[in-house]
Amino acid sequence: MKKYIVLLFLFFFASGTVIGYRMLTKAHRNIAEEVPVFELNATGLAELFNSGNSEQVMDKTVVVSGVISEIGPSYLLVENGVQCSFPENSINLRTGDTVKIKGRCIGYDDLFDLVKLDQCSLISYMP
Amino acid sequence: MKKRIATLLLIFSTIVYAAAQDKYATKSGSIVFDASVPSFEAIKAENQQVSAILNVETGQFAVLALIQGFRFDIALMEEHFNENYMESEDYPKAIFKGVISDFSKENLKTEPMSYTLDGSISMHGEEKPMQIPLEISKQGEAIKINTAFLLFPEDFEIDVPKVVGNKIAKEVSIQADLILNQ
Repeated sequence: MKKYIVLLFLFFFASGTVIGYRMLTKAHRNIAEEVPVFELNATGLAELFNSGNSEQVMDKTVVVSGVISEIGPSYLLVENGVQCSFPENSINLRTGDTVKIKGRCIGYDDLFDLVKLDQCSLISYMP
Repeated sequence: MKKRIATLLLIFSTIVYAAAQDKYATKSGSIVFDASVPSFEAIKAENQQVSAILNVETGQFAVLALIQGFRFDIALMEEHFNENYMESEDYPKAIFKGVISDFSKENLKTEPMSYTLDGSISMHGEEKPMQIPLEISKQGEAIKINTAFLLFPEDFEIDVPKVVGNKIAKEVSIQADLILNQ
């Protein structure tokens, strides 16, 4: 009887350790591999925020399309409405290019009236 | 008549040109948040998409950081930061704004000079008046602003459960590194 209790205890202890370990080492989401909840142009995405529907996209993966209006250190702006951040030094595009970008929506910036996306990846572009 | 119009146009365009010259801004500033306690797991995150605007004529300065933009090495920590502590679904932004006392663009040098931002920080639904120390310098055509200060979670109604109380610093260190251009 005692043997079984000890074995049971060890089983729960081991499971607990494995579960805890896996939770602690859980990987970040891979935004580039996720299916987007919306595919929109830059104006459409800004509209979602301005119409009070931001919860549909907050912390979710979206694809935004439009013309690049500005390029900065590790980011670009689409139609002056959406800021897309990329891993360092990986942007090989020019203002005026038409792009489709996948990224995670992190919120609305009131200082510049921009929707911000991070962990972006380029889906397609047209020079 | 023509001369008068030409003069008026010249004056007008100078005013417009001058007006556009008074704002320096960035959309990719950095803020590092650190709540680590020695000998426990490091609690550190960086946001590299911080927006800031400085009006060099009035000294008005505003900085906006989206809470979801703070990235941690450990995904679970990032999840807890957003869901349990900052509740970023309800309070998605941190804003600090105010006026930099005695600011003058002409006085800026390549070595940092100390200034004070007289303003407030808004976060997690709370606004707290604060005097924030800034180090400002000229970097080529840009203005560089650095700051380092401490914040107390309780000032912003951020609940740290007693269970984890000794693993999270009572004072959280904030460091910002902003390079502003026209």
